Amino acid sequence: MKFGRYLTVMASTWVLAALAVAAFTLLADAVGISPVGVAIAGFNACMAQGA
Amino acid sequence: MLFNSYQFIFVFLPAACVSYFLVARFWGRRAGMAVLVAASLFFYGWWNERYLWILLLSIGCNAGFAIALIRGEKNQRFWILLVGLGFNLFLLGYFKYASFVAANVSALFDLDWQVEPMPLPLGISFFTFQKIAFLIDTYIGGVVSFNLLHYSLFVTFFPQLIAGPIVRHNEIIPQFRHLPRTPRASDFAIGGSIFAIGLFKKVCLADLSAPWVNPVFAAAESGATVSFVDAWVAAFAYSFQLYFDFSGYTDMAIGLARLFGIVLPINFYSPYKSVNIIEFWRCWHISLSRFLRDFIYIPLGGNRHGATRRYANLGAAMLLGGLWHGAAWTFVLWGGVHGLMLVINHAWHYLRRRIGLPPGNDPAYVRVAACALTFIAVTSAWVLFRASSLGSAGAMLSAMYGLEGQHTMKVLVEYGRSQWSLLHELRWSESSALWLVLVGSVAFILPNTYQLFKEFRPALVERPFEDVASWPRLRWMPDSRWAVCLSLMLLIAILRIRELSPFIYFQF
Repeated sequence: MKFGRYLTVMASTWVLAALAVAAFTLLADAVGISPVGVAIAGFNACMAQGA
Repeated sequence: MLFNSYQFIFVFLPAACVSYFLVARFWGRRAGMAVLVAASLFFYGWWNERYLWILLLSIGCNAGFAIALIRGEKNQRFWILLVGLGFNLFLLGYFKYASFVAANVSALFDLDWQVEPMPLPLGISFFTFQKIAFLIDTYIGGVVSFNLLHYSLFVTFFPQLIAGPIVRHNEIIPQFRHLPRTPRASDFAIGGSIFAIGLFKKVCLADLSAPWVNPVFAAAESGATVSFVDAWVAAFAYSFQLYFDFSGYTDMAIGLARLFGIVLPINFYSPYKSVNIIEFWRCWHISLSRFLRDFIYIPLGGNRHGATRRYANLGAAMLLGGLWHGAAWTFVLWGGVHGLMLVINHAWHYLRRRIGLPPGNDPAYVRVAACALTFIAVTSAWVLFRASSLGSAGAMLSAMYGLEGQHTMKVLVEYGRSQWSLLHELRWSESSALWLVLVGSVAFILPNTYQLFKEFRPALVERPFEDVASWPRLRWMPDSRWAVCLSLMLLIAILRIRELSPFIYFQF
């Protein structure tokens, strides 16, 4: 595989997976039908200060 | 600005890449380098703009010393070097050691000296060492011409500005003449992949080890009793936390530099797989070990004046290496302990050669035992490194080695008496043991980043490592398997960035 194609696969996988997580968080998690809670900083969870 | 922050990943880094490549493409390489210097200064100033002036002052003065060294008469050059070294050491000493020295002199002579501890300018230990190395290299004739733009980028280049690797001018400056003017897919694929591994190590392995470490060290500091099991779990977890934190940072630095076509020197090579302390220091913080060897150990005489002098030189280099990490007796003692272990290791090798059993040809089971012993020795020394005072380090080590009478036995008996307590402790121990096995497997079994990317020259190495052939099936290749795996690791790491978690080595 060429490097350009590798980067395309990497970026598209990342975007698809990120969209899947966001969609799950917005839909399934929000209406309370999922036992799994996903907390994403700055998205549906606050960022905490300090280590 | 931290590498593991949204501001860096989603704003600063894309902006730096786009502006560099745009400017370099239309206005040339030198203009692109100027953009990188500006971006690096912005990156540094984001933390505290007041300390930006110290960095700029230091660059300006060191540039003056370097020019004077190149142009100076032979009889003047030594004095110019002395003034230059004095300036750099004064800067480092003033910010890092003034309070420590004042407190100890006051205690020793019963004086009332007080120097308020001040926030340490970020990365001062790293960039000061880099400038000292440059001045010495200039003095011995290794630098024949000076270019302010090259020098400024050499010092400030943001991937390695805060916590290394400590680079030498002859490794980096020649690369500036061949910086790419357009983005190269190969550099982005390799650099991005190494960055993803580094971020995952930091956020998912190092930061998740912290909960096993911090409460136990805090308890030891407050004077509470720490149990045998807790102390060992915390010490092992800290070994892994520190390794994944610092090697994760280094991977990120190497990956970021690669985006701009720059290859940085290697800093870690699976140090916990070492079978002795000598090997450990060839694989841990390699750029610092190299600095200590070239600028302290060898100038002191190295191994040229007999065994006793060699051991004294080793001890001195390690003591100074310990003090470099921080202005506290715990760091000095940590350096001293490592110096002592190195001396014992060299003496042991000498003895083995004398009796006809030279090191290096041991069977596998001896190597496994030696690796375990080395790891336990290094872990015990990390307690000094992590503890905030000699007292809390002593409490931790006492708990680990049962030095407080029958403490260990007493704890075990107490466990037996209290069923609920025993169950609670076991549950905790099981989860901690699982975590230690997981992170331990990564550190002890899996190949390191250099081995994974070996065919694509991920980092500069002084001399080739022997075992790079391990795990041939796990070599990184630009294929869909690695692309999916690394993009998911990157996503998991980015989703895990929930809090500001500075790198441990930022405090140095």
